[in-house]
Amino acid sequence: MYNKKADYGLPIYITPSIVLFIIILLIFGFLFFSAGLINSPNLIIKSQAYQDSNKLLTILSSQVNLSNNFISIAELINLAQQDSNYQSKLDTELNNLISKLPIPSRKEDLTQVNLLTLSSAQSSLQKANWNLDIEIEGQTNHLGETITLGTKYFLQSAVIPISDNRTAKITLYLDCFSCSKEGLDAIA
Amino acid sequence: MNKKGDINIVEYLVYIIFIIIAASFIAWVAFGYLNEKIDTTNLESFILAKKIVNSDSCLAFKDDLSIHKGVIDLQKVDTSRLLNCFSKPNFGYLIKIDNLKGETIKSASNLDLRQQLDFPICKTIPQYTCLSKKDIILYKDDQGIKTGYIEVGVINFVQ
Amino acid sequence: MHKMKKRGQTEISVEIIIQLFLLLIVIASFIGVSFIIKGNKLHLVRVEARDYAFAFDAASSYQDSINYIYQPKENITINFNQENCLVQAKHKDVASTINFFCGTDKFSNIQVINNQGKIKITR
Repeated sequence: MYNKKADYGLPIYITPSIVLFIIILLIFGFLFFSAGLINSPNLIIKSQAYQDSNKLLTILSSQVNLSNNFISIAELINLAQQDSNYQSKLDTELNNLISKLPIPSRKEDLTQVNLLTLSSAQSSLQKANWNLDIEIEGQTNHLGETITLGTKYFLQSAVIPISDNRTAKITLYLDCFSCSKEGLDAIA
Repeated sequence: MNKKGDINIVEYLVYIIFIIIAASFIAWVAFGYLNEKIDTTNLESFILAKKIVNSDSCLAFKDDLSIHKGVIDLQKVDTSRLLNCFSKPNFGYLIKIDNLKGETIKSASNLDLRQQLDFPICKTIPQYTCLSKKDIILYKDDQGIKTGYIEVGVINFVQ
Repeated sequence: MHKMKKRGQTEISVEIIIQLFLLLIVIASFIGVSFIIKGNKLHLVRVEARDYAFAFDAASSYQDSINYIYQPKENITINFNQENCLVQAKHKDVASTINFFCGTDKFSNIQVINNQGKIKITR
């Protein structure tokens, strides 16, 4: 086969090969540098893994005013078991406390970013609520709003004694959809 | 005309260029991985917050009976206490105790002059890592034990 | 002129050898780089210095009695100065020492004893 003048004599597959090569480099370049595949994900322990029950213990130790006497939430849980008249007071106080627990800030609060980026889109979808369950002899009283497709973070539990040699298991967790790492770090 | 058996120099030059690009790319990814910054500021801030709230040397309330972990003694919240209970070179922090309404009751810091000046604009200075944490705690004032928040702001020189 | 191959003979052209050699360069760069990453001793030393510093910080936050033994990783020695809370970690094959500070607590009553490489933290 004659080579035409000024032809470099490269094989016919050279052009698709170059295109394929550039595409592969771009894909892996994106994966390694932009998407952060290069970063070892478990180099430093994640905030969610700090196993610490301090939020729940603070709530259980919080003082509430009951007829000019101050008692803790844990004691109020016990009282509510003995006398159902205290149940609505308990629910009100607990709902108040869990609504005051810090929730992850949205990215726009943290960095004031107005550009449409993947992370700003994620943070605009963020929904987070703290939930608390009190389980006594198989019956659970649930407080807080669960989130559709939410993930549970900072799960912590405590067992407290109540009357008649029974125990109450109290569980607290953050139910969150589309929470950012920075938001979770700030409340860990 | 290329005779069969002849080596096409141009073709191999093109191949060599591709090889160099591919090998350089592999080396670049590897060195990027090796030089990955280990920034442990978040973990250090967590440890600081726990120490402040649970340790008698720092702000935990102590009476004749015991040390009340998780309860902050407002009388202990001052700069000299913080400087003596937890200090690390290049690691500055400020503490704010708020009530449940979000109003600041007391604050203190161990920031030196440089950190005080850089703290508000910390995010724009690449040598610093700054972050803030907020958590629910109990604090003791003259009227008894109340529920509130602790806000910890950290400025860490990481280069 | 088309060269006839005799039965049983194979013809290896220079082209194929050069192409294999170029492929070898790419594979060698990949393998060489993975060896550098695996053997990153300096990284291990940096991790170790921080690991001990954080363990000491956590122990000093604990108010009750404590008896904790910290075992540094193989071939790494830790030199701890409790007065200024300086942790110095060194790998036996690496010349440089890594420094990292834990949080100085002037009120602390923790004792640290270095016993044959193991570090005992007690109160």
